[in-house]
Amino acid sequence: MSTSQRLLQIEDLTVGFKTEDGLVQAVRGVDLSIDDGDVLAVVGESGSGKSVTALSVLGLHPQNRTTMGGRIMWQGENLIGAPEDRLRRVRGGEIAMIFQDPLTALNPVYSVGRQIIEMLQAHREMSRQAAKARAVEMLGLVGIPQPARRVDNFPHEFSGGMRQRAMIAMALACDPKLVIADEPTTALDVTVQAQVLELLVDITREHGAAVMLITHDLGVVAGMANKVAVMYAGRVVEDATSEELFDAPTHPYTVGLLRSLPRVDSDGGEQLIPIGGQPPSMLNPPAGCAFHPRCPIARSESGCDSQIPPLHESEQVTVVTGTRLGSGSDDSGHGAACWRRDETDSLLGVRA
Amino acid sequence: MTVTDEAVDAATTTAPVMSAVDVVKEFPVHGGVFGRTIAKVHAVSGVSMSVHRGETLGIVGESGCGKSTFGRVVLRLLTATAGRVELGGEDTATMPNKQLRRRAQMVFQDPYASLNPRMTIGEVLSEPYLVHQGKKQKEVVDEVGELLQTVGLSPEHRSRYPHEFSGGQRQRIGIARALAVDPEVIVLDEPVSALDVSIQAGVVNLLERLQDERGMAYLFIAHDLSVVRHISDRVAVMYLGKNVEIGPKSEIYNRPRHPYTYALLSAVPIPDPKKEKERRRIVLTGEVPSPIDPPSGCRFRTRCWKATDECTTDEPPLRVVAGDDPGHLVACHHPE
Ligand SMILES: Nc1ncnc2c1ncn2[C@@H]1O[C@H](COP(=O)(O)OP(=O)(O)O)[C@@H](O)[C@H]1O
Ligand SMILES: Nc1ncnc2c1ncn2[C@@H]1O[C@H](COP(=O)(O)OP(=O)(O)O)[C@@H](O)[C@H]1O
Ligand SMILES: [Mg+2]
Ligand SMILES: [Mg+2]
Repeated sequence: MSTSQRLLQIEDLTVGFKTEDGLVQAVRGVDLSIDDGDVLAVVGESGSGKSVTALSVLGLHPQNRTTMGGRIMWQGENLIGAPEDRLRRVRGGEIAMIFQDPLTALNPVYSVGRQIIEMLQAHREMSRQAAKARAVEMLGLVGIPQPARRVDNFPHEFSGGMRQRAMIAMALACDPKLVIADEPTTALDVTVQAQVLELLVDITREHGAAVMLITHDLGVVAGMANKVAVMYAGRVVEDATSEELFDAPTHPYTVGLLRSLPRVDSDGGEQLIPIGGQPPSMLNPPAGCAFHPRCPIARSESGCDSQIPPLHESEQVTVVTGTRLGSGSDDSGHGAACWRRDETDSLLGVRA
Repeated sequence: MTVTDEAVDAATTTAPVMSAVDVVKEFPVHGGVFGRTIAKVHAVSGVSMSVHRGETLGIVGESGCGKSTFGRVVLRLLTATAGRVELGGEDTATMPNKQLRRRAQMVFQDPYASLNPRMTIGEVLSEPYLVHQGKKQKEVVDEVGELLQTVGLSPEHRSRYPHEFSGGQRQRIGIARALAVDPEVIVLDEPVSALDVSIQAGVVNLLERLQDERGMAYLFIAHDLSVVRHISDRVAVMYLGKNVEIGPKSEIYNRPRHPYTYALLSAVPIPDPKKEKERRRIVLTGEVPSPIDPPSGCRFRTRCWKATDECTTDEPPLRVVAGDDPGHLVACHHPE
């Protein structure tokens, strides 16, 4: 791992929500890093903490009932505990966010153009005229026909795909260094999804920005990302380059995800292999590796039900007597938080 | 021979369990001060499909193309504007409701919405027996327990309420409820779309096993082309209220003939970075036209890179391209 400064480095992030039922431990020690030009995919089942992680970067959690720990290093500056006016400048200006449902981010009572203009004026010293010209330019860039006319339309006058494009235009208007896209195409049809994702990655690349792409679709990961982090129960359980993740999935959960996936490129003679059981409750997550109750190779002797396995070797602090320390990264930096990572090959044999 | 193999043979030799013939469904659009009908939504415009015992017919297409409407017309949950639906050769238009419900059932995307929150799962699953067999609640305890086991739940679950179950479990309850009457056909409308893949796989396997054991026909509606390829024997592709292509799944996925099918398949991301890099994606331009005023001729022509004048004037009929499998039909003047 290089020692040079990362664009974004999340270290041991914890986020808890105080609720009537108790503390929801939504994020329980997430480590992630993004460099310039990266498209990092964050994958995992619903409830695994992907959105909470993303919102933490932007400081968007309700403060009165949220507990946060760890560090979110943005170009060397810790955003946890940063003053609100600093966060406001980061949001939209340096880091932009694209949501699954653009209607939650776009204000229905203002025209799309006005929202882009206000965003620009908040972050850049720009005349209204220059900002409007920039808004039209951005709408054209994301493929909205007749941008000079559509700039005055309201969000509801756009189709779903167009709204998502408008969101991308708005997100990129201020030339952010990082775009966080949370399931940006989940609500869209597959042909529109293809258009929007390609657009997002192409444009951010042209602007030299990095992307954190949250998705539950492993196909999208394969097509778009150079790096992947797999989340389970509030932690990153595997991180690797996209090629390595699909070539040599190492965490039993990742292997399980891939085996349960029907493939559009195969006639499906082989049975799908579901992951048994249910994702855990984050009010009371299992001890040790949170995946152990569903894991086909978990063993008490290895510490699976008692000690949290580290993602990378450098973090290894615990010594489990009598067993080899299997967890951690290999030479390539491919990390898997599993005490029995050398045993996952036995699961792979079953994969198509 | 598995039921599935039989089904493929049956498709050419035996009578279908369900067939829809030239089904049309239009919804009126009201407007003006007097709420008069000012236009019509052409949701389904002359769709014919049939499904055989033990067979799964997948129906794919993007949102708004009429999949759900077609499924509902098949089950007479909506009245057809024109055309007819037959069950075992009998027109369902005049069939008594009770008989129809015993023979054809439905599973929805969100079973929660269709489960009464105040009824225990035991009560929900007893209902079909009470209605269709005139039995009393106490007499069907064994049947309900067995049903729960069949779908991978435990008989003890009977006293619980819908909200106590996870998404995957609720879908199993929805399937159990459909199974209770031992139907010939089940229409499944996006049954696994709301589930995470690891949970979805279990429900897909369950559906496959039940079909192997009981031989009912499935009409499997979904927008996920991967799941449909996995579970179906044959696949129908819909676009803007029309069936544009239908055939055995290997034909549809390996040799798509309709430009729309081709574009649709090329857009599905494959979980394999190497394959993704080599792929040529056909990016469709424009948007789906309004079903209130669909294009003349071929409804896909406004987005098709092969469209000619003929496509504007003449609607292409579903036909077999010379040399293709006789069960593979496409509605296109310029098939791939
Ligand atoms: N504001 C909140 N209050 C309480 N619990 C929350 C809140 N936001 C998220 N959670 C819980 O945190 C966990 C992680 O959620 P999230 O990050 O949204 O998952 P996902 O991976 O699907 O994006 C879930 O158990 C969710 O219910
Ligand atoms: N009750 C209704 N009234 C008016 N229009 C409807 C109604 N139900 C569906 N539609 C319209 O019919 C078309 C087909 O819808 P639907 O069958 O739900 O498509 P799909 O299931 O393929 O997404 C859409 O344009 C939809 O808006
Ligand atoms: Mg989320
Ligand atoms: Mg539908």
